[in-house]
Amino acid sequence: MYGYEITQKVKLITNGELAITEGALYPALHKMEADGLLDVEVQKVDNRLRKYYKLTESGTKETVNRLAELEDFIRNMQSLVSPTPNPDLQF
Amino acid sequence: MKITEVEIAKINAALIKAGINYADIRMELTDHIAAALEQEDGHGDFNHRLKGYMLNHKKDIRKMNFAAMRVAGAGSLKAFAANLLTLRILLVATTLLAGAKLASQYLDNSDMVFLMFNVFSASTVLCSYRPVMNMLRKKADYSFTHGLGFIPAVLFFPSIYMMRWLESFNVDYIILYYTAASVLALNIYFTTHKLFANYKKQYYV
Repeated sequence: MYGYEITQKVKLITNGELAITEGALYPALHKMEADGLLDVEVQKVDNRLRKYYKLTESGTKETVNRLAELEDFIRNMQSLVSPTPNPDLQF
Repeated sequence: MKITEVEIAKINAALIKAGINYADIRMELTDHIAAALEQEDGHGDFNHRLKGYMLNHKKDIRKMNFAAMRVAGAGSLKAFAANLLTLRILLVATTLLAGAKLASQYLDNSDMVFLMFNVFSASTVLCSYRPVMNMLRKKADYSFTHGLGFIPAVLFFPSIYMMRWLESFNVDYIILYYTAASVLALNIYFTTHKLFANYKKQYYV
């Protein structure tokens, strides 16, 4: 995927709720590339150069870990917002 | 409507005018802006639409420029540090030190310091050669060069003062300093050379 495609896909998936700006997206992509999480390939498309990004093997592993962390975080937040009473913890 | 080659050149020029001087970031932004303008479906004059885009996204573009330069700078420093631990640098350091020790048998202390200062100066010229020539020839300048740019400046001032410190320091320490400074300067050259080659491989398609 290339930069503009990523911004459009995020917009589409979130029904326009989340808009990623160039200022946030490209530095993050460059950082991930420098950390070896992304592989890049430059191709000439319609008179201009286009940089395509794809996850490396370590990038895929990192994504799985981060998603698991995020799911844990969301679960914890949900239990804080709407706690279900646990009889074992009742005084 | 597809953006033409002339319009691509206009986007590139608008980005240079906005202060995006670094090829690796500008190339990506050119494609981003071109894709965004193509998506607008081509209503109205291209120059007007481009001007509008640049005005609306000026803050973001600047932010991206600095942030991406910081990332590239940090990456080049990392490559610089990794390059220091190679056999080539060890060989360069050993050769310089051995040459200096040999020369010190034939030269007096002040001549020796002057010789080592010249070795350091030559190394600094060599490490600055490619970025300076690119600037003069108006060739593509990649953002990573900024990450290493401060090292020759940091080395330069103590190296000038070191010439005066012959009375306070043992000449061997001064030789050791100039050898270390020259090795660092030469490592900038090797790192820059390697990074330029990587960028060329990536962008010259």
